[in-house]
Amino acid sequence: MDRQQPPSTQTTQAQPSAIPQGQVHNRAEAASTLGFAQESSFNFAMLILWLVAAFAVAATVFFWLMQNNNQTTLNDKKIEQSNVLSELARPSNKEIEKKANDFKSSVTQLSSAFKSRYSYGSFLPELYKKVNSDVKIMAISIANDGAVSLTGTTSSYRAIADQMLSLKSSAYLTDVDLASSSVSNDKGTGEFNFTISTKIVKEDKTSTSNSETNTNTTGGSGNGTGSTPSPLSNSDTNGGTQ
Amino acid sequence: MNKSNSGFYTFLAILIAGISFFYSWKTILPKYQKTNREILTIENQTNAAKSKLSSLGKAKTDLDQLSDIVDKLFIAVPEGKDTPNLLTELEFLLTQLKLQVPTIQISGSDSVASAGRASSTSGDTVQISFSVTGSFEQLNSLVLFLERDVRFMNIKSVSFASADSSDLSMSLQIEAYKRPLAK
Repeated sequence: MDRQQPPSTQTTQAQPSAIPQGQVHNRAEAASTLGFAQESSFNFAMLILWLVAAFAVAATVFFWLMQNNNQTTLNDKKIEQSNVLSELARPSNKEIEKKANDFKSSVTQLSSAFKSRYSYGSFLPELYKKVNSDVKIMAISIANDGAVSLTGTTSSYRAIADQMLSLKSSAYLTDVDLASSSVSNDKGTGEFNFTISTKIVKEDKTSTSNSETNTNTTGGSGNGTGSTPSPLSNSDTNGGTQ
Repeated sequence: MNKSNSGFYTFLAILIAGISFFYSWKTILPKYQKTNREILTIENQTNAAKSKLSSLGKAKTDLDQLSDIVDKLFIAVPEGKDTPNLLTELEFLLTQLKLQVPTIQISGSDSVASAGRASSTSGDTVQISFSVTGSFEQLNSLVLFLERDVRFMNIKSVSFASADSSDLSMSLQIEAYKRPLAK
């Protein structure tokens, strides 16, 4: 009974015997190697994955520490800023700041004011000298922009022309022009009324003219020094028409 | 058993990596950047404040050295209109020259200082106008006094007209300067 083998069993037993013994061994080895390789590759992938996870955690911790460090720095900076600001807010510093701002403001104002300033103190005597003796000035007006208007009376158009030339000879004046002129016979005196317009030259341009003498190119007589009577009453003192 | 464990560990690793990445990306890094920006801003502000503190120290030294000039300058350009002193000053000049002024008009409002303002504007001036009668010498002396007065005044316009006798009538429009009132 033991020797009776079912045909299938025989066949099964016979089949392996048909394959060489070495090949059987290789296949088993191959299968084993394949299994190991699959397991090994799986473990390697897992390892990489865990490494990535570990790296991510480490990076998070690193960033968190950096953030904490930054927060500490920020707090320190805030304290430092608070100290500097409280130092700035001290009354003594406020006072210095105000004084410095006031100083700056005053200097700015004065420098701007100086630029637009005409030195009337030196100009008026010069104008005074340039009024001819046969002319009576009724009014002088000097505007903000240095425009001068002289209104007066004299005895002839020639005298008006002389007066214009006299004014033109002044280094303090420029743009001398006759604004208007007319003859007035109301009182039978034959007065020639005129208005001359001119403009003051800024002081820096007239600094060299201080030594200039009173010259009257067309025979009009200047009034000499500043102690002479007013140009507005020249005709009174010099035998004018009034 | 092994396969299910591996799946679990894979999932766990991915989860940890994901959470870490997400937490860093969405929470820590924005906060880090924000803190950095704040640090930079505060540093700039602190540096500006330190620089101001340093310039104040220098300004104090300079102002102490120039104390005489500063005092004179503050008289030349006082704080506000300072009408009482202006009137007293004018009266003193007129009395010295034996001139009488029937009316004096002083206009100009007191402005309050605003931060960082240090420039001249029309609001920083006081307009004074008056007429006076006298000899040419007296009037010219008045003009000279006004131009040389310790309180800085700029004559804006002058007009002369012949008055009675040999005297002249002079109308003056003057601009005095003032600093804005402190808050």
